[in-house]
Amino acid sequence: MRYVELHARSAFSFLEGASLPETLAHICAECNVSAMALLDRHGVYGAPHFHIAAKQYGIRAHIGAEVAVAESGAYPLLVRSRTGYQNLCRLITTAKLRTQKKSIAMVGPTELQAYAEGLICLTGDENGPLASALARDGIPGGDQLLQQLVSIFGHENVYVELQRHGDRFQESRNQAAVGLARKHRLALLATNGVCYATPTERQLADVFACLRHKRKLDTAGKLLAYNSQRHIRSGERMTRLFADFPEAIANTIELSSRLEFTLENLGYEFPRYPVPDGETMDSFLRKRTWDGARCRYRPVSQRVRAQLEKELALIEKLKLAGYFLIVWDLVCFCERNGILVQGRGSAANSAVCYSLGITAIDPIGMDLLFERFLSEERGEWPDIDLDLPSGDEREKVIQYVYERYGKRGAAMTANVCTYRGRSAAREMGKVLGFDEDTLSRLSSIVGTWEWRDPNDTMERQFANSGLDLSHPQIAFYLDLCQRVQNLPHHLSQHSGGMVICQGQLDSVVPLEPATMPGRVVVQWDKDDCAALGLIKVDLLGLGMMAVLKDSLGLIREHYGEEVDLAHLPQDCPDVYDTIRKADTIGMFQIESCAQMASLPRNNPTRFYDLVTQVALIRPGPITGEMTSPYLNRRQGKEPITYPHESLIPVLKRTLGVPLFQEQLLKLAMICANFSGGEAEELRRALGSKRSQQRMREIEAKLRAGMTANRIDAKTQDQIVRFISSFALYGFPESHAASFALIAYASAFLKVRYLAAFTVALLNNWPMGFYHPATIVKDAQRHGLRVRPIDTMRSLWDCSIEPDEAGDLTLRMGLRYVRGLSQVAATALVSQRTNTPFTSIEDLARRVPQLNRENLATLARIGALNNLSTDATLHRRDALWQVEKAIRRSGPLLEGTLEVDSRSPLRQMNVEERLVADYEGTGLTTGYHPMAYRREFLRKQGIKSALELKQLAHGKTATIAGCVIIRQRPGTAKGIIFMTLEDETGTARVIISPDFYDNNRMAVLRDRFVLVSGMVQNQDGVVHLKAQGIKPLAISAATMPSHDFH
Amino acid sequence: MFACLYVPDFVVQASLLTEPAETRVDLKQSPIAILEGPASLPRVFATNPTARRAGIQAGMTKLQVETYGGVLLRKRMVAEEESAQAVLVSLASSFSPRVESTSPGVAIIDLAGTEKLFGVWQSTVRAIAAKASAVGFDLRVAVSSNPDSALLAAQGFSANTIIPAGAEASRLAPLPIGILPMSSEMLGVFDGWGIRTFQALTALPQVAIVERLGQEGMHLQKLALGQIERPLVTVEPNAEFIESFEFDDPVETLESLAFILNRLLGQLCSRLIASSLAINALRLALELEVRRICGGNKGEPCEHNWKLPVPTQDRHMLFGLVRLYLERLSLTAPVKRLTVEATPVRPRVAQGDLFTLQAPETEKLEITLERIRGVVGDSDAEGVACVGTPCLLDTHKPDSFTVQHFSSLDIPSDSSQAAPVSALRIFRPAIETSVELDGDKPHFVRLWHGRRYVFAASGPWSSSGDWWNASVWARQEWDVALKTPEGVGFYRIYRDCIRQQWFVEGVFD
Repeated sequence: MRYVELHARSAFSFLEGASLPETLAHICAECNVSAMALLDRHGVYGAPHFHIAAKQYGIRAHIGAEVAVAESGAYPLLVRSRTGYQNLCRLITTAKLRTQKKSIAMVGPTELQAYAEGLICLTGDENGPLASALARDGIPGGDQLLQQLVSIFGHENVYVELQRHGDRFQESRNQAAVGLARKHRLALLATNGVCYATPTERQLADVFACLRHKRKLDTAGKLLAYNSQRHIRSGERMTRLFADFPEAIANTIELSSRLEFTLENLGYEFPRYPVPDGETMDSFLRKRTWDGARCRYRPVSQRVRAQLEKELALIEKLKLAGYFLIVWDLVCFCERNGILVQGRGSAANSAVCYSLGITAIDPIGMDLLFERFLSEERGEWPDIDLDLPSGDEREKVIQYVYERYGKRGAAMTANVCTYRGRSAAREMGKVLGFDEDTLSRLSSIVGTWEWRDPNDTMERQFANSGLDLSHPQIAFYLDLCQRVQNLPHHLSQHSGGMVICQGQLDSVVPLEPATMPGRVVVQWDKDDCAALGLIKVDLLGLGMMAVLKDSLGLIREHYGEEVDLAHLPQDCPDVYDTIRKADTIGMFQIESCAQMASLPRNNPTRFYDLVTQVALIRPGPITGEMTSPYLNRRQGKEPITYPHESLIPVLKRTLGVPLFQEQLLKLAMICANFSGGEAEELRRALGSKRSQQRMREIEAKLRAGMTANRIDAKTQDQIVRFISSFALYGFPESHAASFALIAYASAFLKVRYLAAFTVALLNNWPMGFYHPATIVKDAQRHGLRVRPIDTMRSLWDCSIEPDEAGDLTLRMGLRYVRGLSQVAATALVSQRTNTPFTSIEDLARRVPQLNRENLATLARIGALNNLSTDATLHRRDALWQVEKAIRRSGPLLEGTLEVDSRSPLRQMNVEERLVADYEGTGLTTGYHPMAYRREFLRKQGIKSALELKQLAHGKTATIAGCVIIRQRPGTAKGIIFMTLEDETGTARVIISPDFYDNNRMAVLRDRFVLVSGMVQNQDGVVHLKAQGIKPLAISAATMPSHDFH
Repeated sequence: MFACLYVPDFVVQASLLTEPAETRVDLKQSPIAILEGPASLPRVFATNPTARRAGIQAGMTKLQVETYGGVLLRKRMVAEEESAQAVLVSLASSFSPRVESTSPGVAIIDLAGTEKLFGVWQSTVRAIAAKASAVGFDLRVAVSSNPDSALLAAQGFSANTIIPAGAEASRLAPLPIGILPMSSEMLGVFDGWGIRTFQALTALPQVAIVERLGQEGMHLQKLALGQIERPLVTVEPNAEFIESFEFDDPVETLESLAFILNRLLGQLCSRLIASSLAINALRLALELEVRRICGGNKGEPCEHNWKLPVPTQDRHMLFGLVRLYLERLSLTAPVKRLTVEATPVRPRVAQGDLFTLQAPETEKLEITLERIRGVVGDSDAEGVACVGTPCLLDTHKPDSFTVQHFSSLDIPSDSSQAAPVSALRIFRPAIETSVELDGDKPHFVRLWHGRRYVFAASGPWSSSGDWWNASVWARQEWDVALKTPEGVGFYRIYRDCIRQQWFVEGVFD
């Protein structure tokens, strides 16, 4: 007997379903259920996943949702037609947009009436409208409800739903429902109200019920499921179960055949760009492109002309002119408002994008592959990402999009947050009744390092943390933690992806409010949007863009120079000298430990070297073992060879080693005769959701193509390895080039305008790899004078101050005073601007926003030392006065008490000042703590970071320093890289997994360490391979360490 | 003069107190960490100096400590600490009747008048130290003219100290201010000022201190100067409310027992009334004469506890309650000793509410309930109470209930709104049976020694739960009409899916 399941919920119902849509589709196929309707709660969150999986398993995917109606339960609504789908999306959007996040979005009866067309209504399960009506008013209530549903949806669009889960109460409800259906001559429909794919997943459903109600399993009682029967059942099983109502089974087939809508055709249309009369979008784009090209390419060569014509023709053919114009419009908006913008990603492969000013890379000059951006065969929208300064300016652009396309015409893409190690450990522990202390501990031990040892399983982590896995409850806990992995937890907002639609976006996908005010988000993530052909523009916030912009303003103001980022002097030797020496702290993309370790070996001397450098230190090239061969070839240590002579044109620029995704695509095109579109398909197939089956198919296709081209088996193996290993984590060349531009700009500014660049960097922190303490010390080593925070001079932000000799110095801003709010700091600056403060008492009185803690911190860090006519006021004098100033003497004695500027307290010593600086600001502008102990260390034969660099390979040495970075990269086979800092610079220490196992506490815990070991000095890259480590008593200062967990 | 007895690392020492003396000496040399927290994730709560020298700190996890090797790990036992504190107070009491149990590991005694017994202060200190050592404590003693100076000296100096009257300020001067009782905020202020010792604190001008830190600042400064005088809060002698009577000849009759019981309860109540306290819980212990009969012992001690619904001082009510219990008690031997112990609490001060339902007096109700218990017993074989209010448990598992202590204050409201259903008389326990199936459905059920034909069946009704613990259950129910010699019977049968066994659960009226 044939049967279709028309009422199912997936885990995308967020705590009301326990299986992924893919699992539901898979089990449906196994049970020979030919179609299924996914009706997630309050949305169509899981619909794209279900649609794609259903296609894969050969079943039909019907779409719908359970929509909550005030005081009437959850209405299961099935989509019959495209109109129905649009109505459902609008209905959900209407309810969601007026509802606070985390509250249940309720639909009103009149709204139901307004959006009923094209929808089919079922009477639902125990939470449905019929059960609610029967419970409230008995049979007459049910009777009235059915009349109401018929009047809203039409007689043929209402089905009386029957479910049988072995529950007496449910059966009595079924009997009442059957009676009412007969009376109103409505069709019966058997469903199983599926909440999970198989009976075992009922346990997760119970766990989710507990999380929903904030209860533990032991106390949840009847909130848990009655039994395990809400799983997918085969047609035979359902037929047996409903033997007394065969029509209820037959109707499932009949109804399924009526549901003609699928997500295949959403009716999505990208907005049309308004063009002047007499123009079409194509002609307008053409004009804008040629206008731009004439500025960009001087002169426009034949090659450029041909490429632009080719691109424009394809854009016209694919009807994408509107998309390019809209992105161009955004770029124009940024230009008008002085907002830095730069396109990244595959858009940099397009000469049209370059001509329109969207990207800053000349794809023709760099010989970039246009097909990576756009191809006819791929049948999908191109992807343009715009980098914007993070913060307010990016928000301005986002709000411009909303303003231009309407609140319901544009929205951010969602980000589906899933249960991962920590969240799973925490939530499952909560449900099993673990106390808060244990929960915190458990969640902190799961996955603390990026590197995952092959044996570093959850079991091992639990065992290591002292949990007894033989204990039944702990075993259950572990099991639940593993099973819940990757199930959706909640929906958040993607960092920058925006979807725009011609007409109303809310008829394509439901919209809901994001947590940030003024933001609207769609119910699908960026992959879902891409899979369903929704076009998106990524407006990404990049901290470095903000730094560049701020730097330009500071340079204009303090250096009196105008720097144009688009026309920076290229290939400046001093800039490349600095980069080659790996003196790159603060520079974009090339400041990490791994980048620093490869820079001297790559030895960049021109822009393209930076492009390769950016792409080189990526998981793809590293795991594909391409980094070392490339660097060796750069240094002439190994010959430049090619896997096959046909690949020479493709790999020549990267010395025979593929480093970019485009090369991968070209490899497939040349060796295996893939078309541009097929090659792009290959890249996608190897993407983040790769499957073994798909990999095998692709490999077979590749090998078949290569065999046809008479490429031998050994070379085939090499090419397959190239492709499969780095397709996942490699950079596209265009993307690397865009980043390299920013990297060069940051390096240029740091080398030429250190004060401005450092100020901008500190004002835009957090960003990048290093803590401000390190950035400040680096700037000081480069000759910049950094002045401490001073309430008489500092602004909220760090600023540039000329000193007595007219040299520029950096004044630390009040933003670095721990615990000081911007409101209080602004009030302080404003009061000071009107009339300077005369004493601490005056400051405390005139800026009431400063609390005791603020004043004490300001005093401790020396920021109040200049607040007196007495030039010898020290930090403790200020603290002494602060305690008095905050205990006001009352109106009677106001002003009568003498201000005693001196205190009986002794001045802070060096160590106390260091501790106060790091506690109060996280950094010191004075000497590095190690500097105070240098003499002592030198007598012990301990080398400084600078001295270490001069030691020969293979020597043994001991260094000492403050640990500023601990990192265990996923690609380093368990090795930990530790960076030590002293007053002369930084030194890198390599810690092997065995050494780590024996010295865990010293590696993880101590701030100052003494490390002895063997020097590895290769090609100017110096490491110390640790053979001994011990804590060092240098200072009690809480120096920050950036540990990459 | 006052002497402070201070036990450093009290928690560690308390945990070792029960060890034999030789073992204790050995153990003290090794690193010890006391762990606290859930069994799945214990953490270090306290350590001894050897452990601290090795780098073990409070807050570390067991796993972290284990990486050090050779560390003796023990679980924290609050009862051990309470018992150790009692030993410390008792030790102090042997030197002076006026003892203050100041805090865990600290006792202060008033030495006034004791010099005639023990000689000069040095002798007293030696005697205290010797006695403490014999008990198992490694403690420090400090003598001073006021309790707080003695306490600070004992905490701050690493050896026994005697501070002559008038020399407090100078002797206390080198101590770190961290030992003064103050908030972390205040400590932060002193830290910022660079004030690390008592001497530095006392050097600050007093007026300036008051201006900045108020009275608390001045108090701390006076403490550092050794100028705070306060009376001791002495330990109440015999604060336990226990009355006991040992019979010259073991008694066998209830009357004799009741007579003494009444007297003891009277004494207990009088003491409680004098202390303005009431009884919250009562313990009765009967020590029986041990008789050797046929190679076995008879006369195991008997004990019973009552948790009273409201605190009381009414001896008659208590007597009635205990007497009722004794009436239904059958003892195996005559009673040698009778003990009653009260848990004291503040008496209840409450006024009735005008709108509260009329209910029996709580005390009388308790007597009535005890009478009923005398008839039906305390609890059944499964440990469910026999007297009280039945309450359904919040679970899908059928027939799950508990019996709670009856209280007239929570009489359930009218629940007659439920729809009328046919009554199911439940067999407790359910009758184990066997069922023959026809496909999925029951065909014959074995009941009342016969094989009964099922001519109608409704089901299966499935339920399951508690899958996360050992009491996991799953059942499939059928409501069946059985042919019986009397005609037709309607029964509920179910299959326990875990035990794979059929049961008859009940019969429908």
